[in-house]
Amino acid sequence: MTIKDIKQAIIAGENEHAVAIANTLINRGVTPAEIIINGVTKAMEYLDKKCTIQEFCLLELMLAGRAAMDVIDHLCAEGTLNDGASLDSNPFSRQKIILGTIKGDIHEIGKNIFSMVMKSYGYNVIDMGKDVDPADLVMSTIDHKADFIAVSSLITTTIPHVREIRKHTADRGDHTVKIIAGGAALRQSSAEYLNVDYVADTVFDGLHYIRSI
Amino acid sequence: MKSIDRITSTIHFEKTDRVPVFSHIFGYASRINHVPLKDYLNSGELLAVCQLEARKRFGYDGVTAFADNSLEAEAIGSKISYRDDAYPHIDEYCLTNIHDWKYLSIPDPEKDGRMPVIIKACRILKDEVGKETAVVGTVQGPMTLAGQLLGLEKLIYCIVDHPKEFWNLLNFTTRVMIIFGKALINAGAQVIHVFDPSSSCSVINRAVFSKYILPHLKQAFKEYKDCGDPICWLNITGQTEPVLDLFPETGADLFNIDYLVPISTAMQKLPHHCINGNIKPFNFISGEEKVIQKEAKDLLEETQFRGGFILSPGCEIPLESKGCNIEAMVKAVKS
Repeated sequence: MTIKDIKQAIIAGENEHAVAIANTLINRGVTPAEIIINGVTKAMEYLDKKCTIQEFCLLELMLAGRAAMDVIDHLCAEGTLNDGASLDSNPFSRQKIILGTIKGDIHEIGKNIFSMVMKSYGYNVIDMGKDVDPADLVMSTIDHKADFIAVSSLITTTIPHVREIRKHTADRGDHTVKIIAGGAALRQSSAEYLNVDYVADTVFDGLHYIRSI
Repeated sequence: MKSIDRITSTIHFEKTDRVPVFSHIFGYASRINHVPLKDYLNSGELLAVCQLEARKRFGYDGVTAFADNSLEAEAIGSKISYRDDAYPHIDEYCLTNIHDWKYLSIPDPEKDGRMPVIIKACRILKDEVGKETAVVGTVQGPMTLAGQLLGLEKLIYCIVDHPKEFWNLLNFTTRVMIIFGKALINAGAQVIHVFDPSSSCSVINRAVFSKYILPHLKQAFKEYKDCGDPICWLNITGQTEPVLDLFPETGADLFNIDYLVPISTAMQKLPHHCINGNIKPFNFISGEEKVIQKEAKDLLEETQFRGGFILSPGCEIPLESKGCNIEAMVKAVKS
């Protein structure tokens, strides 16, 4: 078994198999950092290339995301992965993202997938859950000194709340945090209309934007 | 030419006086009639009156007896919350695990939840305009309803973790859609509109669609056809390009195409079936009339030699849409 097998198991959505391989490799002396960077992240990079807006499939991404998170959780539970210390080679791993489904909406799948993908790239994701007031998102951003606010929505009636986020950040004197929006309803709109910095077509499109900052 | 004849002829690729236009106006009908959405969703009379007024104002080809995506799930036992200004959402799914599907009961459309509201609305619409325009009855498709009973996230994992139970749950939801659909046909619906956005390839892949969803859609449409031969309309919003070629196997007559799929692709993959679409829904909120005019004009030009085309948005018109944009869409087929 090799790290490549972890990548393949994650891509295939075989979570238990992926964890079993990780366990075997750890016992053989492979470091958690190698497993994350050359296994989990490589699997995500493969999915990144595959999941364009035309090819995106929730089922495949959810299964792969679950497998990736199970491997990361297993490494944490075993005490072999210490709070991101193993991810030092990833320059983005210290950045924080405040995440939530915006007020008026309770759909969480898109948000949860975004969370899984960002975590598997080493970002620190603080998930505020669903139906989150824009003021609470901003308060949390200040409390955690976050770099990004990411909001999702499946329905258009939430758009006024998305547009409020910028006002709350400005009122708090925060002009540096970047706001990113996604989800079936929001991605039909534009950054200008939503008063955000970026509208992501897919979860990986969002990842690319965040990495570009 | 009456709207109903225009639609029927278009389905059969026969000559018509103009291209038909569907509005996908559901809850929006309450907004323009200044009726709280919550009241609209709970009263057959109000729903019918708002639908009739909306049709009178804009002049499109059809009225719809439809409340919201949670209606069947609520009648089965999921707990929902209403809001004044938005569609209700599910607070508590009636299934905590997929294995418990066997304890669910098939709802009675005349008694359970708000199903009687929609049956009543359908009867009123049929009485008022059924001779001239299409009365559309909407039911949730098997995958979407299953997601409303268990939660979509859990359901998706069950496809892989518990495939037999996933199949069993789809058997149950298909029985619900058949019984509700037949009740709508008996109440006067000439078009049965199966709405199944969770079956799109944005959610599941072609293999799952082919193995699990297709047989259930096929069964439902066959039973509808055996019950008064309504026009059968399949509406899977989102990305459907990888499965378009499988759509004819469902037995439906008409296929909705969302804005994510180019109409040229749909025409190529469904050469002998009627399609409707596919103006970007969000443009009804943010766009100017000229944006809608251009989209409509482009679609009409692209489909003019083909026939078998109904102009419509790709999905429901958002609640916050501008009336002038709907007028622009309807005007496009009449000018």
